[in-house]
Amino acid sequence: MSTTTTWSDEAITAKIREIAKTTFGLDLPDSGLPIKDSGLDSLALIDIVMGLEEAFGCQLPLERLPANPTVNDFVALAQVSLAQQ
Amino acid sequence: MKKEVVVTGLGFVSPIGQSAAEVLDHLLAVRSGISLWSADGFTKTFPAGIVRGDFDDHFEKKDLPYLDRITKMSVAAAEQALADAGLPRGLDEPGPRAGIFAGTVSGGAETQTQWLRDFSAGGKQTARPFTLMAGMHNAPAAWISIRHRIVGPVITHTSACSSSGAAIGDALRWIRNGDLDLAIAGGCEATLNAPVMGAWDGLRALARPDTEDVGRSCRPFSRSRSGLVLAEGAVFFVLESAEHAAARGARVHATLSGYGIACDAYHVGSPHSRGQTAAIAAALHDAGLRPSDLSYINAHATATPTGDPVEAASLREALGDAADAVPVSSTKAQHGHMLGAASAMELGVCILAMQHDFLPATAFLDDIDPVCALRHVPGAAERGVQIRHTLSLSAGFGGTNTALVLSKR
Repeated sequence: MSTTTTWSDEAITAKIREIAKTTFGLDLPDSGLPIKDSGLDSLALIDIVMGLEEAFGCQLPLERLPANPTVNDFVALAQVSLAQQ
Repeated sequence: MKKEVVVTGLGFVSPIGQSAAEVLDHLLAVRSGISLWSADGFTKTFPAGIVRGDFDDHFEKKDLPYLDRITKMSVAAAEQALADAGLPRGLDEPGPRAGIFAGTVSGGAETQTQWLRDFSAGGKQTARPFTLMAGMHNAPAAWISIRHRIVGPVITHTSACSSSGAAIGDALRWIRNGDLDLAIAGGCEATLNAPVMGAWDGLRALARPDTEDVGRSCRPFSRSRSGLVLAEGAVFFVLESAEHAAARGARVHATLSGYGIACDAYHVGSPHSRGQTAAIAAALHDAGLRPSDLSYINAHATATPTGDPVEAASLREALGDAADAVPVSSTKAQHGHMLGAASAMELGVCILAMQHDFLPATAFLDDIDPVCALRHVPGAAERGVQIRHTLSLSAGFGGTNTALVLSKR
């Protein structure tokens, strides 16, 4: 059964920033800049993915993220996954 | 030629203080660090040696998810030891000549038990990505190495309650043999959570809270002893070769002059004198001392009904004719049983006693059990006593015993 996506890009961006702030105490850089520039490592990125999965109730294919992702890359990945729900 | 190994830095995170000065103050005043422990959903309460504070201010917030309580306390204690040794930023020139030797029984136990709770009762199937690394036994040593750029051997020892004794002894050997110039060595434990308390309670080994004063619940060598009191903490030292310390003008606290390690090979949970006496004999031999040369012994004595008499017998056998003359105390009455940090804590007590000329007391020992007859230091510290050589004994489940000897310079 398919469901309608109710998450806008802005809402997903806000959720990513909220997870980074709550868990790691960090304000992420501009959405077009690599997240790792803020000091987060690859495991922290996995934790952000897990937080999004929990929020959206769907799996995000981590392997489709580029090596050094931006917030915009996460948003795009989330939208693809939400559309396939 | 074997090198002299000296202690140049002290770092305490303990129930009786978070600096050498605070620990000294508690020892001289014979003030207890034992208070009442309880946990949500756990019906029993126990006395425990609880360390105050969360130590988050030692870290960037982005690192906190990776850090179990044991690692936070360990990094704080190691920082203190390095600052005391005059090396506050760690090593300017990292190289293979420095190492870390840490002892622990359970590693990141808080993280491990929380994940098991989440899995079993919280419906989680997948852990947070940092869970595995926060729960590792070697996480404390790893974080100290990262922070202070120590790239030589970074080794974690686990032999139950003698873990940090083995770690310190290993560090001694590396430096003495000329393979290292400097080491951060000690131990750590953070297991004051309900599942671990429940496991210990299953042994019927834990003391119940004293009805009049919970601070008096741990009574080693006493006829009224009722069991051990679990504690947490981290204690680390900077050890280095005497020539390395002299070359950089470091202050020396004491010489680490002897180390012995031996196993009971008897029973996984019951001690036997043969391992303890062998460890003491080996440490004295290593230091080139006779039993009568010792001015003070810090005993393992946890206040269990069966353990204390075995240890008293071991000490009498190991000391021979000197058994009635060498003062013995167990400071666990004040700081509790710090498990993986126990040997380090008690070696630290010996260093302070040696530096400040006093015999630490066995607190609350007003009714000595005749089966634990020794030259005790009951109730009050004895001041004005010169300590030339001192020994600290530790015994672990599984049978591994360690003894460390300190000598005054």
